[in-house]
Amino acid sequence: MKRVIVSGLILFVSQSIFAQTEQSLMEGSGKIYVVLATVLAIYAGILIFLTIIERKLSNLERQIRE
Amino acid sequence: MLKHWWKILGALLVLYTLIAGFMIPLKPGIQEVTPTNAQAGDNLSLAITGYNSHFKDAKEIKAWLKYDSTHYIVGENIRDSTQTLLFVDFKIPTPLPIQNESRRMTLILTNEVDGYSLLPDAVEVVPMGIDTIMGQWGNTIGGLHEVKGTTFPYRNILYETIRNLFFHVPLWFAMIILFFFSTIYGIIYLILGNSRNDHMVLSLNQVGILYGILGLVTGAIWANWTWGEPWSGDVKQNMSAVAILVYLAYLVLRNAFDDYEQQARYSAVYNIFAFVALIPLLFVLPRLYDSLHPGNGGNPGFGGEDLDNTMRMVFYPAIIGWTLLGAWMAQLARRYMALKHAALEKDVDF
Amino acid sequence: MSILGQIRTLVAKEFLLEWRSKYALGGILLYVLSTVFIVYNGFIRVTPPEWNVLFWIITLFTSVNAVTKSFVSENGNRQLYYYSLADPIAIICSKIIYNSILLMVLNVLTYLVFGLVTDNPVRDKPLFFLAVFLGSVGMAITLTFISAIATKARNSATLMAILSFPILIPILVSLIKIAANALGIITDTSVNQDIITLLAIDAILLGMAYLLFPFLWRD
Repeated sequence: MKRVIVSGLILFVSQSIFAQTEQSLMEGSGKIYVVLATVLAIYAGILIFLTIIERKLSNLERQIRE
Repeated sequence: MLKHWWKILGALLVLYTLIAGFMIPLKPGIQEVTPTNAQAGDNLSLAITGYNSHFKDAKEIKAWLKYDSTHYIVGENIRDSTQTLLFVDFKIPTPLPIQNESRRMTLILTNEVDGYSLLPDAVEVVPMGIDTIMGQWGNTIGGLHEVKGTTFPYRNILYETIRNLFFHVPLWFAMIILFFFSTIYGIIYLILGNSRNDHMVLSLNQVGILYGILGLVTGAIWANWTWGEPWSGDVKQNMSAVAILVYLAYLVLRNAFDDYEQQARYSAVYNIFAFVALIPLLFVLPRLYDSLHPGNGGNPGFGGEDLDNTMRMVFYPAIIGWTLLGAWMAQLARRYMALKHAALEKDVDF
Repeated sequence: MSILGQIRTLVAKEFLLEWRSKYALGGILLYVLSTVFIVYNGFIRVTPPEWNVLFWIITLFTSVNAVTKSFVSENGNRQLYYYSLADPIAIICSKIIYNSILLMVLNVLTYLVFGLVTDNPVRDKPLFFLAVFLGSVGMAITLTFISAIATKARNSATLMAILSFPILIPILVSLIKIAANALGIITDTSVNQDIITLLAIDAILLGMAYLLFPFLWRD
């Protein structure tokens, strides 16, 4: 429960800080940070996919060893 | 090493896309002007904000306001204050060629460093009651500067996000290519059997779904900062979401069988049927509707204006690169499936 | 017996079975009536664009329910019996023909009841019935084929909806556009192109069902 509250608080604080800077950051510098966000989203997606395969493989390895 | 050539090629192409996509600068352009309204007969002093421009370096700057193809106003008294800020005076003549009607004029700007650039509908001019002839209409313009160099086209609203063409759009192309090959492997499985082909179908579909979701997410990010909202009900967005639903249904169907052979065969049949059913959805129907995407509502696909040769040189390698990267991920998933399949069969034997 | 003869016999068999189990037919008719009344009570006043969309949504749900029973409700023994008697092509064709007729009847009924309780906004009736005809055929092909897949899986009824809805969306989108012309909501000169698109979708789906069904009918 404590962890939920703490993570909720962190989320809220970071949201409110981010919301102020977000507009000027994304609109400024010719919107180049929109491109950065796009590339980061793809990077995150590929990492998630690899992590899932990694976890499945580890499970399989454990099963085979047993 | 040799049998991994396509993975190396994929990684290199994606690297090339990233480097070229970020490093090649945007062509200079006109970001905005103030004021945007004028009256006929005014001596309009226009403040022009340039993007990536070099007004201070340029020796020979010329500017025109275009009323129509035979009526131009020549800019006078051009003075730059910084590289991106320029002041030009325009004496707007009266009467206007078309009276009793306001009209938006296009700004044309040229200098020897940046080349020429346009801002359509820059200034709206309103006719005035009294005719006081002050300025003069010119009927042609001349001496536009062509500057050679490797640049991406400048578009208002888009600005630097035009680079997303190498990151968002290839995801869709790669998704379609992956789904196409999963369909081919589905057909091969139905004819020849062999669980390897079935695993190929499943793994290609998994990566295809990943690319589809990433396409939606990146599209939403891009749309939020250019079209104004993440989901504007655009026909291509909707149709792509439907395509992902179909393949999620494929995953659900796979889990609804107890027998492996049945699971593989039935899901392969659904996979083929679904892909064929999606063809009108993805390629025919969007063209019948108006869309914010280029290539819809009767527009040609990637028109010459939106995709110039420099962009093509990054865009096509990007498609191949992302597809090969996807195939690599699919291969990892398939090898896992093959291992698991083998392990399960051993269990049955013992 | 030739395939055409088999198809004729099988379609006749479907009608005979339907007629014998009248409660099933009655159930689906009641389903149409109650859906229409629920929608009517929820809206009372229906504008033509809403009418158009609601009509096709009701049609979609009725069709899924009506076709689900074509394979899903048949038990394995009876399917084995057909398998030993008839050609798979004859079986899928007869099911598609029977379901097309069934859906057309149900959709016309929906149109009559829905048009009766609300103000009937349909102006170009021939165009609208053409849409109903093409839509019924397209839905019948897709749903019959999907029901052949779903029948072998667990949770067949849920799977029917999950598997068929996304595939039906292209048909539904073209139908709503053609019907919007018939209702006079939009006047589109390219309505012929939409009809051709829908015809092409129907033809492609029929071809796929014809090619792929033998693979489903093997065990």
